Amino acid sequence: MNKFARFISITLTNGCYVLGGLVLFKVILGGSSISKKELISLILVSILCGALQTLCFSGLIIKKLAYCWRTAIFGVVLLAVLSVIAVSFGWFPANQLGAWATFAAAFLATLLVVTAIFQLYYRHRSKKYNEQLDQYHTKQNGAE
Amino acid sequence: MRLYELEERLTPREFMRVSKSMIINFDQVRALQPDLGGRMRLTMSNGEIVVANRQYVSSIKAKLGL
Repeated sequence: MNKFARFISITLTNGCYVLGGLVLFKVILGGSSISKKELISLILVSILCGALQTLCFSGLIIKKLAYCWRTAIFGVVLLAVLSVIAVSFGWFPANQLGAWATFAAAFLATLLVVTAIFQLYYRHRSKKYNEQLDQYHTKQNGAE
Repeated sequence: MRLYELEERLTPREFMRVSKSMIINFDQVRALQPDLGGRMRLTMSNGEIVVANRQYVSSIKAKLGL
């Protein structure tokens, strides 16, 4: 599969996960129905978020960059993208500073929680791999 | 000699392919870390960090019994 096809494939997969999460979030917030306009905005967010995730975290485009910088770039660009979509689709009153502050705080909190979850996951996997590696070396040394 | 020919000769001696252009001695791997995009970072005994590509990670996991 060439790079472009892989980019699209990973973006669509990530986009589907994001869309599923957003719809679930909407349901949890008490939404019993979703308007066409809301659905279009969620699909747009999912695709753009998926593309940004692929760009920043897949290693396909940005090959050598520390994880913290990838997260920072992702966060800043995603916040800008979400701000444009929020204004375009009227998610909240754009002329109210309080609404913007709540939006930014919610975004930052979500980003921090998701980043923390991924960090914990990577540390857990690292620990497991290294335990298995130690066992492997012990077995090899015992065999010699 | 091609790399895959070298790989065939060295596999019984704990050497394994980790990318299109690299074969490593697995006995000299000191630490493992998952990396982005399904890859894996291997820290060698000399401190060098090698990144194993996605397609070769499964053979590393199989070697470790994961």
